[in-house]
Amino acid sequence: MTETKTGTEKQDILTKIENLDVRIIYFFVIIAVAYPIISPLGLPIPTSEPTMDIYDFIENLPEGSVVLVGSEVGAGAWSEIGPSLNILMQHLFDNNLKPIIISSVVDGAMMAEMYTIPKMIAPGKVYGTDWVNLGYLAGAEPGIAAFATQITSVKPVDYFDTPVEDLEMMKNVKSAADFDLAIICTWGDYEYLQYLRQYAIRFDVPIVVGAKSDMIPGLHPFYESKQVLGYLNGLRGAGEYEILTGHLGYAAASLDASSTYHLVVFALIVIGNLAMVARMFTKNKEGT
Amino acid sequence: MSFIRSRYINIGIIFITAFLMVFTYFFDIPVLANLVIFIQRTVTLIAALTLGWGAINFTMLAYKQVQNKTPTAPFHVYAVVVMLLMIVTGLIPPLLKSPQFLWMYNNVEVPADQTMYAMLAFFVASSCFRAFRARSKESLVMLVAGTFIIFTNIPIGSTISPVLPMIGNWIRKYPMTGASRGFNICVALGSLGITLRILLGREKAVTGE
Amino acid sequence: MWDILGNWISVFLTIAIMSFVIDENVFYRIAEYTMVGGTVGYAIVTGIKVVLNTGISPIMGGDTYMLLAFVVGLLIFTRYSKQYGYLSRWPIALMVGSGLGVASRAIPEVSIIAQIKASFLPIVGVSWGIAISNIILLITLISTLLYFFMTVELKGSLRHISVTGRYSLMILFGAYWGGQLASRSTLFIGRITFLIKDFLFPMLGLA
Repeated sequence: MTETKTGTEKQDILTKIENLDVRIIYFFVIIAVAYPIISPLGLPIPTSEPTMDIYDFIENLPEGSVVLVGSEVGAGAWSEIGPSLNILMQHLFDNNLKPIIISSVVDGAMMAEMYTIPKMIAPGKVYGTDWVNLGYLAGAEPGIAAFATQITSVKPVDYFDTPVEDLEMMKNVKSAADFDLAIICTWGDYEYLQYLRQYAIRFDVPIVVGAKSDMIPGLHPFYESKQVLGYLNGLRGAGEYEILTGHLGYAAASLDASSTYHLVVFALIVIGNLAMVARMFTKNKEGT
Repeated sequence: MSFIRSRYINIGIIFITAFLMVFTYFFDIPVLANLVIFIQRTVTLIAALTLGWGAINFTMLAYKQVQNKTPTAPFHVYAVVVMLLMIVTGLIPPLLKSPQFLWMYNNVEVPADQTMYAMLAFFVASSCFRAFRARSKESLVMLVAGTFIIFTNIPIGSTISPVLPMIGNWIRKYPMTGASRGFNICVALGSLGITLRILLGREKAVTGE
Repeated sequence: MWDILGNWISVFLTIAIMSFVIDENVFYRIAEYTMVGGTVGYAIVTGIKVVLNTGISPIMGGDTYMLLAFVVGLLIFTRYSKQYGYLSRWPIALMVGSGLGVASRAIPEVSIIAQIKASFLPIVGVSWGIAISNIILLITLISTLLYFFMTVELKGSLRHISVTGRYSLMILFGAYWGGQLASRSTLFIGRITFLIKDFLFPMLGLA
């Protein structure tokens, strides 16, 4: 430690920065997220290619096409995947497509029923004719494989315990060969791979994924190889899609908070690294 | 009798089932296809029954805590009470749809579950400050690549400069895709290797002793 | 009244869990164990429902084969018996074999062949920028693959492949880090939005 007053002060500031109380960091994180929620910044949201590809594909699907919607997300990650599921379902309803909701996650179908369906603007849509919720599908990939081969083998009744054969929409839908698209909104890497293996390869069902942002590095290669037609990149993707469809909602409104959070984290990384460089510089100076 | 207890039965079941799954994928034989569907239905049923394991193990853990008079014993008992409350309300007809169960789920389970995951935002921010240092060339590359990728995830990137998300998209489309593909291929080859080990009975943890 | 009570319970649980950042406390413990108990309870009722729908109902409807499936499924509970515990491994073996079979039959096509095919992109007949980018993709792919292949030690001039592989992986991990940041922030935004818009604003009459 240097003896001069200035040198001692510098060391103290550096030490203070290095030993910064984490609660101060948490305070800034809360402020960074809360402020844009209370007072939105209105940052523009450009559309990315994978989002546009999904939009174009759904727009070009003929009316009445059957779309499997995998609500492969539980309550924990609903804040991130829920908006994607909501806006995709809304787009399906807008274009008079027929979604079939299924989930291999214990509470996925229930979350969709409680948090997605009530938000839908779907005038004149009738359950059983215009959409169906088949509920939870146990058995992971073998269950998904059996469902793809013969739906009623593992799902004899729907979410409301109505026999599947009694549902108007399911009269001509017996297996994955009858699906025109599969939308997988998932919180894990494993789920979309299961659908790729059991639906895309075997039955040529086009696959679209609503993914968490931390899944994108693993998912993007499948998009580049055209195995996945497109994907929604977490909240950002959902926000882009809300703008494309004209149904602005939670995702578009929350992206400002995401931006400010990231700026705070950047600032923390820069401060931390500058402190490290300053420490190295001070040590070198002492050494000479 | 010892043969029935041996791991060779387990290996046999695994091998025959896996073989049937793969065989019927490539060859369309109706009898075998129906057998495979029956096996998959059985697996679905077994998976649902294993959820009962969770309840039994959970209750046994709480019982042990109470027996040993640990400081967390009251909390374990409380958790079992909550579990029973969820079960009782969930079993009120219609199953999993009664107003009581939906109230419990929406006001107790969902907020607790979501907040647990949300806490990670704090820890990621503090760990970025404390531990993310560009001490080496590798970590500098990681930091720079991650920074540009972040600008593709948030709208402020394009507001600051349209070049930032452009660079991020290029990194994602080319070097990141190449590395990720290599990673995915290695993982796939590894899982095929593990599959082979299990089918040949080399993985004792799976086949049992 | 129940709605208001439910809202207050949600807020209590949210703030109790968030209080962990200050220090671990009894409220956090209560919220934590509430979540654990609730998750287990919910999973059990879901399991009961699936067993009723896919097991009991078909058997009552005359599907006698499912009786065999049901008996096989019940074998997992023999785990708690010292004498018959070995029987619990049979349904597990069935699950493992089934899972391995359905996954491994498609892994080569989905995760290996299609990915390799998609990596060989044109370098002739395209612009310089795209040609160089395609070459970079191929280099990062091959170097990452070789980084994980331990058959031959990469020494001497081959060491550069290992170094390139390491830097490629750093780019990948940087991308994962960036994604993690966005993902975690989104989950947090959800809870703060709930606290502000569903609790604070109505309480202050700003809804």
